[in-house]
Amino acid sequence: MKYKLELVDLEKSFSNKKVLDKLNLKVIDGEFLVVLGPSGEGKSTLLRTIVGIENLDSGKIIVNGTDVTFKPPNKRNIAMVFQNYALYPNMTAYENIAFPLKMARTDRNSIRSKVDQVAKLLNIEPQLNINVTRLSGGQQQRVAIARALVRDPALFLLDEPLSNLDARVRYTSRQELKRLQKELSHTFVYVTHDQVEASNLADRVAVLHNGVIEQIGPYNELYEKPNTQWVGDFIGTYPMNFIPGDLMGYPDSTIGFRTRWVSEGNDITAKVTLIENSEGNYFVHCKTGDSDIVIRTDTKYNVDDTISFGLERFNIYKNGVLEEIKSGNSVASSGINDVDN
Amino acid sequence: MKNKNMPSYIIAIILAVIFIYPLYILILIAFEPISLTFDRLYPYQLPFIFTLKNFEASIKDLSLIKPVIRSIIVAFTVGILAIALATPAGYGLNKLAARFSNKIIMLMFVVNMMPAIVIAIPISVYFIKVGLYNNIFGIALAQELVVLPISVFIMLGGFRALPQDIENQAMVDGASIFHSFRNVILPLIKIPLLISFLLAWMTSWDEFTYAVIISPVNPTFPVSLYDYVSRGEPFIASSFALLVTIPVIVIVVVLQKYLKGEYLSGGMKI
Amino acid sequence: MHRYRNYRYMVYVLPALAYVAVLSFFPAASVVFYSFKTPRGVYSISNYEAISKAGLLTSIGNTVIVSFGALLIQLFFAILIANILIKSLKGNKLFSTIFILPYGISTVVSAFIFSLIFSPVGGFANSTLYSLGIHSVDWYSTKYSSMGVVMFADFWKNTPLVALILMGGMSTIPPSLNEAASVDGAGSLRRFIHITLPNLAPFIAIALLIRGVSEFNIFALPLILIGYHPSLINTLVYEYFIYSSTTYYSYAAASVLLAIIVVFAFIIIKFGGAKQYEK
Ligand SMILES: Nc1ncnc2c1ncn2[C@@H]1O[C@H](COP(=O)(O)OP(=O)(O)O)[C@@H](O)[C@H]1O
Ligand SMILES: [Mg+2]
Repeated sequence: MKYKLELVDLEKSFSNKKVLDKLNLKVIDGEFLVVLGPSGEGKSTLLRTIVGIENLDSGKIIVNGTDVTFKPPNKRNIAMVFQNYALYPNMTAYENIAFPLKMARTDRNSIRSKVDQVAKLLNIEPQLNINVTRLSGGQQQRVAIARALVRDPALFLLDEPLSNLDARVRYTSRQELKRLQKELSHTFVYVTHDQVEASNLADRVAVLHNGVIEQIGPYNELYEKPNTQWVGDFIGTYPMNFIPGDLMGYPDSTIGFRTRWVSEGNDITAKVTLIENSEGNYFVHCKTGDSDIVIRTDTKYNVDDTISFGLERFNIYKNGVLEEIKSGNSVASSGINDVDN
Repeated sequence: MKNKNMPSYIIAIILAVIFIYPLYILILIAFEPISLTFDRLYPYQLPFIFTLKNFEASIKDLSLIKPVIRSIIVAFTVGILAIALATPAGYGLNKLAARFSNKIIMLMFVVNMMPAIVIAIPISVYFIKVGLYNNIFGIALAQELVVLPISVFIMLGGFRALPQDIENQAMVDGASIFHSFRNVILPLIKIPLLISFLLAWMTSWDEFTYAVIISPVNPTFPVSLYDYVSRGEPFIASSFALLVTIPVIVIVVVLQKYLKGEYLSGGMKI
Repeated sequence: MHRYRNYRYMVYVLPALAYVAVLSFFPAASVVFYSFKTPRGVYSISNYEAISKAGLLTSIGNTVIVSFGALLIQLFFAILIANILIKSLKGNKLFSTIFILPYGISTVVSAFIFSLIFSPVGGFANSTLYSLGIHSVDWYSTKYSSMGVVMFADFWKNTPLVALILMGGMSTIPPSLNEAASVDGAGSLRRFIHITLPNLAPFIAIALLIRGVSEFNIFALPLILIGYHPSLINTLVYEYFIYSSTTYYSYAAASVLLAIIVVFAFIIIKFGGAKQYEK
């Protein structure tokens, strides 16, 4: 398989804080890879080291088969969209988009046609001659993306490009970004802390935790088969429920299950503490032993009711790591996820 | 409403008269015949006769033109040197931790408090040895001490106001360091640059202590004005004094909106 | 965003820092060092003894009087001006332009104008008094009136700068504070004392520091207006420098000035500066 980007044992510390700890990652040609992780985990740092504005302590960065570890940012053939867009405030939208081409000494006519082309693609033709500081947030974000797209580099890095937009614009921008990436068959590495974005955009999601990619795969795979309890806890609107293994006859381990993996039965008895009503479903918060769990039901229970239910499937974790996946005969829940907008 | 603001107006008008009066006198003596001003025990204070004779006389007197030219050269040198040193300093300080850069700025200002005369005398002794005594560049080098801290402070403010990551973006977009400075950073720090330059220019224009000690024989305008006054011949200098004052007043009025605002406090973030 | 230590960037700062530090520290150190040297090459405090006998203490006294006098006058009027300009009165633009004018007139030109105004013979101040039917005054008849002339000229030239700094400070006070207080029934004086003044304190400290240090260094104004008598430390240093056969006397006097300024700056930074960092 051809990789657009290979990261080998990246290490990066700030003073004495280790941000990347022998991180490895391979990005396939033409894929939309989302790096997902909570704030402060080092997502921005990762992108900044890839593009070369932050120096690595050790490790190797390979773009398109070429080792670029020691090349300056302008020689790496990578485009990046920064979190705050970093538009050049003294220039119009046109000048912003044309800037990388000008730096590459492209001739004037092909600059014109390339900018027009990408502006058409992003629907910002009417704004081309306006100073970027006078554009709306959504338009600014398009200009920033256009400035990256106009270059045709090996790889695109995007650092939470939608996080400054309001909800509606964010939704439409998301669809459009995905469409663009597929149409142009570019390789995107997209960083976010937002699961909804990850689940909607990604071909594969890489979860960044403790300086390494803790798990990588399609979002549903991470949702259903989190490799570690941490990933299970992090992925999903509701964290995965965890209860001691003894309850189900698996000593020395932990049982993990999603809110909707419950069925009729009496594997578990719990006491209701809180009910949430969300679009026709009830999310019942309850307590079993020392564990707080949330399950989804169609029945309306009351607080302080004692309820019991069975598990149609569950994962078994030992020392925080996935050991075994147990599924009942009626596994129908693959493809379902409870992430909603 | 009117009554409430009355005291403010009265005070403002009294103060305005006090602030304008000396300037008015300067203009008056420049355009009134000497017979109505300098030559009288009680000079007239109202404009009776308008004349340009004083101006003609002082322009003819070449002895004052040279000092003015010197002052202009010195002021430009000081301004350019200020920008040349303060721009990289502001850039570098902006990249350092605020805790650290504030200490450096503080140190510069504290050093700046050193009395000019304390520094000027030993410097003049040294300048005699290296040939900078009685030399306009000697004055400029010394006056630079006065303006540099505030210039660095203003430039730091300018760099702090740059959008985050703008420089990184330029590099990612393929710009070399030169192009990134020339095409992206420079247009964004134009105003702080201009303010630094003009403030440095004005400070040098005004500076007396270093000038009189380091270059008494080839004086700048303030020093030669002092010479005229101490020799008891103020009338020769009076129209010149007005002439050289006007451009600076214009600069100040133009700069007014920047003088109070964010630029002077730009570097003050903690 | 956090900024982190990155000592690499010190390279950019060093030229400016070195310029200021080297050109200030070495001369100042040599002044102090040589102030203990006598023409015969031995080190003693004899230079200091000589200038004390010649009236150093009086100069110090005069300098302190002029400095603090001018400082207080400037501060008072600057607060007044800032208070007027901060209100949105009609004609405010004009007033603020007028109040800034002296800032654009060089110190020597100001001194020159005031020397004409206060000239004992043919001065404009006396001309004004004369037209009001009042006797002429010799503005330089006593030591204190002479210093008064200097203080007045200094007030005129430098109040604009102080007012600018204070206006900067006032614009940082959120209007809601004042509105809340006036809803609570506080009159304008009480609002000024309880809201404006405390919030302005750090800016007053900055103004005091900047102007205070310059006041101790005041040179061109007294030199042109009153010459060497009554003497301030700066004019004394200059007098020694110009007229005495040895520079060591001027070094000694300069060292005294340096010491006074260090003490003054220390006090202001210690008390005003600490407040500044608490905020
Ligand atoms: N230049 C820097 N110097 C020191 N620490 C930094 C620097 N940049 C980021 N960090 C630290 O590294 C960690 C990761 O930061 P970042 O990459 O911005 O995280 P994310 O983008 O995932 O929110 C944070 O703890 C942050 O404080
Ligand atoms: Mg980030």
